[in-house]
Amino acid sequence: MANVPWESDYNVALERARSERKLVFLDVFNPG
Amino acid sequence: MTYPQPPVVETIVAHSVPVQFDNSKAENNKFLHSIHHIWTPDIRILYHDGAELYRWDGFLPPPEFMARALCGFALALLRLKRFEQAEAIYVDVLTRFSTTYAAPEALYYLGVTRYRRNPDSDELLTQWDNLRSRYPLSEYRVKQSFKELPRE
Repeated sequence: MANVPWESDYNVALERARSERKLVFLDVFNPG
Repeated sequence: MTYPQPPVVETIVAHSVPVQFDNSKAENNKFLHSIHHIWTPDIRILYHDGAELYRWDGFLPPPEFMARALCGFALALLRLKRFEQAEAIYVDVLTRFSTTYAAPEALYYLGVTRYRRNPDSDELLTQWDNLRSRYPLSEYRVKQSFKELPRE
Protein backbone atom coordinates (compact mmCIF):
# COMPACT_ATOMS: atom_id res chain seq x y z
CA MET A 1 0.00 0.00 0.00
CA ALA A 2 1.19 3.49 -0.79
CA ASN A 3 -0.29 6.88 -0.18
CA VAL A 4 -0.62 9.86 -2.43
CA PRO A 5 0.73 12.84 -0.43
CA TRP A 6 -2.39 14.93 -0.86
CA GLU A 7 -2.43 18.60 -0.05
CA SER A 8 -5.73 19.85 1.32
CA ASP A 9 -5.17 23.56 0.73
CA TYR A 10 -5.72 24.64 -2.88
CA ASN A 11 -3.53 27.72 -2.65
CA VAL A 12 -0.69 25.79 -1.05
CA ALA A 13 -0.87 23.30 -3.92
CA LEU A 14 -0.74 26.09 -6.51
CA GLU A 15 2.24 27.72 -4.82
CA ARG A 16 4.10 24.42 -4.48
CA ALA A 17 3.44 23.69 -8.16
CA ARG A 18 4.85 27.09 -9.11
CA SER A 19 7.99 26.70 -7.02
CA GLU A 20 8.57 23.04 -7.99
CA ARG A 21 7.70 23.73 -11.67
CA LYS A 22 5.08 20.99 -11.58
CA LEU A 23 1.41 20.76 -12.47
CA VAL A 24 -1.44 20.45 -9.97
CA PHE A 25 -3.37 17.17 -9.84
CA LEU A 26 -6.79 17.97 -8.35
CA ASP A 27 -9.07 15.12 -7.27
CA VAL A 28 -12.62 15.56 -5.96
CA PHE A 29 -13.94 12.41 -4.31
CA ASN A 30 -16.94 11.15 -2.39
CA PRO A 31 -16.19 8.94 0.61
CA GLY A 32 -19.47 7.01 0.32
CA MET B 1 -8.52 0.72 -5.52
CA THR B 2 -6.30 2.79 -7.75
CA TYR B 3 -4.54 5.35 -5.55
CA PRO B 4 -2.84 2.89 -3.11
CA GLN B 5 -0.86 1.32 -5.94
CA PRO B 6 2.80 2.46 -5.78
CA PRO B 7 3.16 2.98 -9.56
CA VAL B 8 0.08 5.21 -9.47
CA VAL B 9 1.54 7.30 -6.65
CA GLU B 10 4.83 7.56 -8.51
CA THR B 11 3.06 8.71 -11.67
CA ILE B 12 1.20 11.46 -9.85
CA VAL B 13 4.09 12.83 -7.78
CA ALA B 14 6.55 12.72 -10.66
CA HIS B 15 4.62 15.40 -12.52
CA SER B 16 2.38 17.18 -10.06
CA VAL B 17 1.43 18.43 -6.64
CA PRO B 18 -1.71 16.46 -5.66
CA VAL B 19 -4.58 18.16 -3.88
CA GLN B 20 -7.83 16.48 -2.85
CA PHE B 21 -11.32 17.62 -1.87
CA ASP B 22 -14.14 15.64 -0.24
CA ASN B 23 -17.44 16.64 -1.86
CA SER B 24 -19.44 15.52 1.18
CA LYS B 25 -17.97 18.31 3.32
CA ALA B 26 -19.93 21.54 3.38
CA GLU B 27 -16.74 23.56 3.78
CA ASN B 28 -15.80 22.55 0.21
CA ASN B 29 -19.12 23.51 -1.40
CA LYS B 30 -18.16 27.03 -2.44
CA PHE B 31 -14.96 25.89 -4.14
CA LEU B 32 -16.63 22.91 -5.82
CA HIS B 33 -19.41 25.14 -7.12
CA SER B 34 -16.79 27.48 -8.54
CA ILE B 35 -15.24 24.67 -10.59
CA HIS B 36 -18.65 23.29 -11.72
CA HIS B 37 -18.09 19.94 -10.04
CA ILE B 38 -20.75 17.35 -10.83
CA TRP B 39 -19.36 13.78 -10.53
CA THR B 40 -16.64 11.80 -8.78
CA PRO B 41 -13.87 11.07 -9.11
CA ASP B 42 -13.43 14.48 -10.74
CA ILE B 43 -9.84 14.86 -11.91
CA ARG B 44 -8.36 18.14 -13.13
CA ILE B 45 -4.80 18.93 -14.16
CA LEU B 46 -4.05 22.57 -13.54
CA TYR B 47 -1.35 25.14 -14.18
CA HIS B 48 -0.03 26.93 -11.11
CA ASP B 49 -2.29 29.90 -11.88
CA GLY B 50 -5.33 27.61 -11.54
CA ALA B 51 -5.98 27.29 -15.28
CA GLU B 52 -7.46 23.90 -16.14
CA LEU B 53 -5.38 22.11 -18.79
CA TYR B 54 -6.99 18.63 -18.75
CA ARG B 55 -9.84 16.84 -17.05
CA TRP B 56 -11.76 13.58 -16.78
CA ASP B 57 -14.43 12.04 -14.59
CA GLY B 58 -14.92 8.48 -13.41
CA PHE B 59 -13.05 5.52 -11.96
CA LEU B 60 -10.23 3.88 -13.90
CA PRO B 61 -8.23 0.79 -12.80
CA PRO B 62 -4.48 1.35 -12.32
CA PRO B 63 -3.12 0.77 -15.86
CA GLU B 64 -5.91 2.81 -17.47
CA PHE B 65 -5.57 5.48 -14.80
CA MET B 66 -1.81 5.79 -15.28
CA ALA B 67 -2.12 6.03 -19.05
CA ARG B 68 -4.93 8.61 -18.76
CA ALA B 69 -3.02 10.65 -16.16
CA LEU B 70 0.13 10.60 -18.26
CA CYS B 71 -1.82 11.76 -21.31
CA GLY B 72 -3.21 14.54 -19.12
CA PHE B 73 0.20 15.63 -17.93
CA ALA B 74 1.54 15.47 -21.47
CA LEU B 75 -1.25 17.57 -22.96
CA ALA B 76 -0.90 20.08 -20.14
CA LEU B 77 2.83 20.36 -20.88
CA LEU B 78 2.12 20.61 -24.61
CA ARG B 79 -0.29 23.49 -23.98
CA LEU B 80 2.53 25.13 -21.97
CA LYS B 81 4.85 24.55 -24.96
CA ARG B 82 7.16 22.32 -22.90
CA PHE B 83 7.53 20.11 -25.96
CA GLU B 84 10.38 17.83 -24.88
CA GLN B 85 8.64 16.88 -21.64
CA ALA B 86 5.33 16.25 -23.42
CA GLU B 87 7.02 14.11 -26.07
CA ALA B 88 8.78 11.96 -23.47
CA ILE B 89 5.52 11.24 -21.69
CA TYR B 90 3.65 10.36 -24.87
CA VAL B 91 6.45 7.95 -25.84
CA ASP B 92 6.23 6.44 -22.37
CA VAL B 93 2.47 5.88 -22.74
CA LEU B 94 2.96 4.21 -26.11
CA THR B 95 5.75 2.03 -24.70
CA ARG B 96 4.21 0.90 -21.41
CA PHE B 97 0.47 1.31 -22.00
CA SER B 98 -0.03 0.67 -25.71
CA THR B 99 -3.21 -1.36 -25.19
CA THR B 100 -5.03 1.17 -23.00
CA TYR B 101 -7.92 3.39 -24.10
CA ALA B 102 -5.65 6.43 -23.77
CA ALA B 103 -2.97 5.12 -26.12
CA PRO B 104 -4.53 6.43 -29.38
CA GLU B 105 -4.65 9.91 -27.83
CA ALA B 106 -0.94 9.62 -27.05
CA LEU B 107 -0.11 8.72 -30.63
CA TYR B 108 -2.30 11.50 -32.06
CA TYR B 109 -0.70 14.14 -29.84
CA LEU B 110 2.82 12.75 -30.26
CA GLY B 111 2.52 13.85 -33.85
CA VAL B 112 1.06 17.20 -32.82
CA THR B 113 3.85 17.73 -30.27
CA ARG B 114 6.62 17.07 -32.75
CA TYR B 115 4.91 19.19 -35.40
CA ARG B 116 4.39 22.13 -33.06
CA ARG B 117 8.02 21.95 -31.97
CA ASN B 118 9.23 21.78 -35.57
CA PRO B 119 6.66 22.65 -38.26
CA ASP B 120 9.13 21.57 -40.96
CA SER B 121 9.12 18.03 -39.64
CA ASP B 122 6.98 15.32 -41.25
CA GLU B 123 6.20 13.85 -37.83
CA LEU B 124 2.54 14.86 -37.81
CA LEU B 125 1.66 12.81 -40.87
CA THR B 126 4.06 10.04 -39.87
CA GLN B 127 2.47 9.54 -36.46
CA TRP B 128 -1.04 9.90 -37.84
CA ASP B 129 -0.20 7.21 -40.37
CA ASN B 130 0.91 5.04 -37.44
CA LEU B 131 -2.37 5.87 -35.72
CA ARG B 132 -4.38 4.59 -38.69
CA SER B 133 -2.56 1.28 -38.63
CA ARG B 134 -2.28 0.75 -34.85
CA TYR B 135 -5.63 2.11 -33.67
CA PRO B 136 -7.95 2.08 -36.71
CA LEU B 137 -11.15 2.02 -34.63
CA SER B 138 -10.24 4.86 -32.27
CA GLU B 139 -11.87 8.27 -32.10
CA TYR B 140 -8.44 9.80 -32.73
CA ARG B 141 -8.22 7.99 -36.04
CA VAL B 142 -11.46 9.78 -36.96
CA LYS B 143 -9.96 13.11 -35.82
CA GLN B 144 -7.20 12.82 -38.40
CA SER B 145 -9.42 11.33 -41.08
CA PHE B 146 -9.63 14.57 -43.05
CA LYS B 147 -6.13 13.61 -44.17
CA GLU B 148 -7.64 10.48 -45.73
CA LEU B 149 -10.14 12.29 -47.97
CA PRO B 150 -9.53 11.74 -51.67
CA ARG B 151 -7.92 14.69 -53.47
CA GLU B 152 -9.86 16.28 -56.32
